[in-house]
Amino acid sequence: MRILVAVDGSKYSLDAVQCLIDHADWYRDKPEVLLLTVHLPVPKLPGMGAAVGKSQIQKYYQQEGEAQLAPAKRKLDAAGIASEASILVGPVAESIVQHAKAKRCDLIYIGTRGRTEIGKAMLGSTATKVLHLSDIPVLLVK
Amino acid sequence: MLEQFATQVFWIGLLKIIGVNIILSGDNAVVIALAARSLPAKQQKAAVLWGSGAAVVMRIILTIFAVALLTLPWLKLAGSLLLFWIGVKLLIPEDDDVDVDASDNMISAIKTILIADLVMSIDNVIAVAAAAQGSMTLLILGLAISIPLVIFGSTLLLHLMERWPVIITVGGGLLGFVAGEMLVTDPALRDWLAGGGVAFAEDGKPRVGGLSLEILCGLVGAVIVVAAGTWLAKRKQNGVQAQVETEQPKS
Repeated sequence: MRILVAVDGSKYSLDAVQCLIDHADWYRDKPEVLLLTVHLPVPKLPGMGAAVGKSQIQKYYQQEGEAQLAPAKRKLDAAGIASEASILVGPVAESIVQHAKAKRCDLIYIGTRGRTEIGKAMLGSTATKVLHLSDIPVLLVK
Repeated sequence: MLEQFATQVFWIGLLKIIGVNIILSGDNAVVIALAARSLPAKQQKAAVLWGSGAAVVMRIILTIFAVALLTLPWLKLAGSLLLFWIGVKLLIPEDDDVDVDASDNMISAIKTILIADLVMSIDNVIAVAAAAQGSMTLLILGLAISIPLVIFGSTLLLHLMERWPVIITVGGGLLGFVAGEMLVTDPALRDWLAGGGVAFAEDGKPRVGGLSLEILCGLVGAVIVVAAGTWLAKRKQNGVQAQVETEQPKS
C-alpha cells in the first residue's frame, strides 16, 4: 500500500496527516507514505535574470517547500511511520495527480481546506480539482 | 503648498501615483524578496532597509528628471512608445537559463536590490512622472509612500503574483493606459490633433465630442498592449511547460 499525502503546511493539511496516522491499522501492511508539497512557479519577468539566478529561485522553492513539509514530517516520524518527501513546482492539483501516477501510488490523502480561503471561493479548492483529475482513489479529509 | 493638500485633484493624483507604482513594482518586489532570502535571517531586514532607502532616493531623483524631460515636445511621444514596448515585454515570460551568483553577504544583496530596482524601474519612473502631471509634491509624497510599501510587502506581493499571474497582465494594461494617455498630450501633436477635429479645453486637455481623448487613447493603449503581449507570449510558449523537481533524501 503506497499512499501519497499532499500537504501545504496548513492546519487542515495536517489533519489529513493525523487521519492517516489514526487509521494506519486500516491497512494490512504498514503503509508506505509519500509526502508531497507543491509550490506555484515564480513569475518570469523581463530583467529578472540580471538580479536573481536560477539557483536562487531553486533555493527559494526548497526553503518554502521544506517549511511546508516539516510539521507533517514531524508528525509522521513521531508516529513511527517512515515517509519520503518531495517538493514539486507547478500547478498544484495537476502536479499532485501526476506525481501520484508516476510513483504508482494506490491512494491520495488530501485535506479539503487549505491555506487559500479566497482562492477556494474563486476557483474551487485544490482538493476538488485533484478529485476531478485523478484516476487513483482520493481520500478527502474534512 | 498647503492649499494643494485640500483639493480633490490632489488626492486623486496621489492615489493614482501610489496605485501605478505598486502594480508596476511587482517585478521589483519579486527580485527583492528572492534576493533578501539568500541572507541569514538577521541580516535580511537590514539589507531590505538599506536597499529600500537607497532605492527611494534613486527613484525620486530619476523621476524628477523624467518629469522635467516630459515637458519637452516629442519626448512624451518617445516615452509613450517606450512604455508600450515595456508593457508588451512584461507579458512575455523570460527564459531562465541564466544564472547569477547568489549573494550571501549584505553588501552584494543591497547591490542586487539596487540594480534590480534600476533595471526594472524604467516603466515606473515614466509612468509615475506622467501621472504626477508636473506636481513635485505629489511625486515625492507618492513615491515615498509606495516604495517602502512595495519593499516591505515584497514577499506578500510575490505570493500574490504566484497565485494570480493575471496581476502581471493588469500591470501591462496599466502601462498601455498611461502610454496612450501620454501620447496625446505631447505638445508636438497639439496642432496636428487640433487640425483633426480635437478641441482643447481651458486646462489644455484634448477632448473629442465631449469625451476625454486621454482616457479614450488610454483604453485603446491598454487593449493593444494586453492583446499583443498575450499573443506573443502564447506564440513563444507553444505548449512548453517546465517542471522542476527537487527530491529530498529519504529518511
